[in-house]
Amino acid sequence: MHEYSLACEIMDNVISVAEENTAKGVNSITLGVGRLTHVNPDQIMFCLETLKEDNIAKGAEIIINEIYPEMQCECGFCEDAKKLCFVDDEIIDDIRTFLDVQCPQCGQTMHASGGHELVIESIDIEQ
Amino acid sequence: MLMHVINVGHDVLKANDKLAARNKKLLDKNGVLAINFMGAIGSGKTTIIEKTVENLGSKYRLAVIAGDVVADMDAGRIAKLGVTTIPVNTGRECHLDAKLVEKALKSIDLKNVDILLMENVGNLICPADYKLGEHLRVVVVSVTEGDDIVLKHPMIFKHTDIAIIHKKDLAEAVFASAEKMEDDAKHLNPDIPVLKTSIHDAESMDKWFSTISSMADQLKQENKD
Ligand SMILES: Nc1nc2c(ncn2[C@@H]2O[C@H](COP(=O)(O)OP(=O)(O)O)[C@@H](O)[C@H]2O)c(=O)[nH]1
Ligand SMILES: [Mg+2]
Ligand SMILES: [Zn+2]
Ligand SMILES: [Zn+2]
Ligand SMILES: [Zn+2]
Repeated sequence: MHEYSLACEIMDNVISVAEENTAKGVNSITLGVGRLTHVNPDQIMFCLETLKEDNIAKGAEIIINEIYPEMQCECGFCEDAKKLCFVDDEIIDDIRTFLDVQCPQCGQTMHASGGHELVIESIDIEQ
Repeated sequence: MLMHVINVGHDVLKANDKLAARNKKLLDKNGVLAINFMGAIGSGKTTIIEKTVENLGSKYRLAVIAGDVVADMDAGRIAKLGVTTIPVNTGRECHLDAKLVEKALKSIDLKNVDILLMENVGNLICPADYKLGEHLRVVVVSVTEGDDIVLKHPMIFKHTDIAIIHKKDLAEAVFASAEKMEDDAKHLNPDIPVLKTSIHDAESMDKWFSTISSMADQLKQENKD
């Protein structure tokens, strides 16, 4: 499970940013996880919850935002891929959702751009 | 008490990409063609590397980074053939990353290497997310994994440069169609070469060897210019 080493890297970064800003504590950590990565948000969450307990981020809330790619077509049409993941009341959690998507304007296969991130978006600290 | 939101914007995966770019620069500087072999455990990565060493070893100076689960075992197989082999995995990693490769590169005399073969950890999932600094990404998939394996792992086939459908000699025995697998790979990634290989079919292996040697020659030429 490589989420553990990713979580360690995230935590190291959070700690150094907090220290650089002479933080007394960390209230929250906000991450963005791209839907086209193979990173499992639940596992990242679990690892961070464990890791934060013995450092300055103790008690911090961990917030994970999913980052959807943008579907782009050669004809110029583009749209947020988020809506592909919510069909009727169902949530579709499958990387293949973003492949073989036809352009509603011209019918060509669209290309997914972005969604490869694992980013520490922000941290909320107490000084 | 002052609350303060800091925009960090640090991307952990992009950080790996950056390190990979640095590895690539180092490899380029030394005229080394680097190949990243990805594929499940047992798909035939070590075998293909061994055959490549046997076949191209007299014409090119080769080195190997062995990253599959207990790398010592594969490294031992390859080192027997008399090439520099660096084992990098101790069974903890599920993929190679640019940092592990950077460390391994330090113990290779790059000036005296033409082709670097890197065997990634045996899985079709997370190695897709990590660049190492390679010039060529190769996915090795065996027909014995079932002929729907390509469609089950779209990302790795979308982000590869060559797909090898291996052990085609066994296709009939496992009711798999190497042609279907080829079609699936081409569907996901229309521009890539797909090779159907078996160690029992010398001609099919030759196609692979000539693909690699022409790439190595091209890189060398570019470096001369
Ligand atoms: N029938 C057949 N077996 C093969 C072929 N290539 C490799 N093998 C066998 O497949 C097994 C796994 O190969 P190995 O190279 O260790 O796979 P790796 O885990 O991907 O490195 C070994 O027993 C090989 O002898 C092939 O083309 N045909
Ligand atoms: Mg192996
Ligand atoms: Zn993993
Ligand atoms: Zn269009
Ligand atoms: Zn991994």
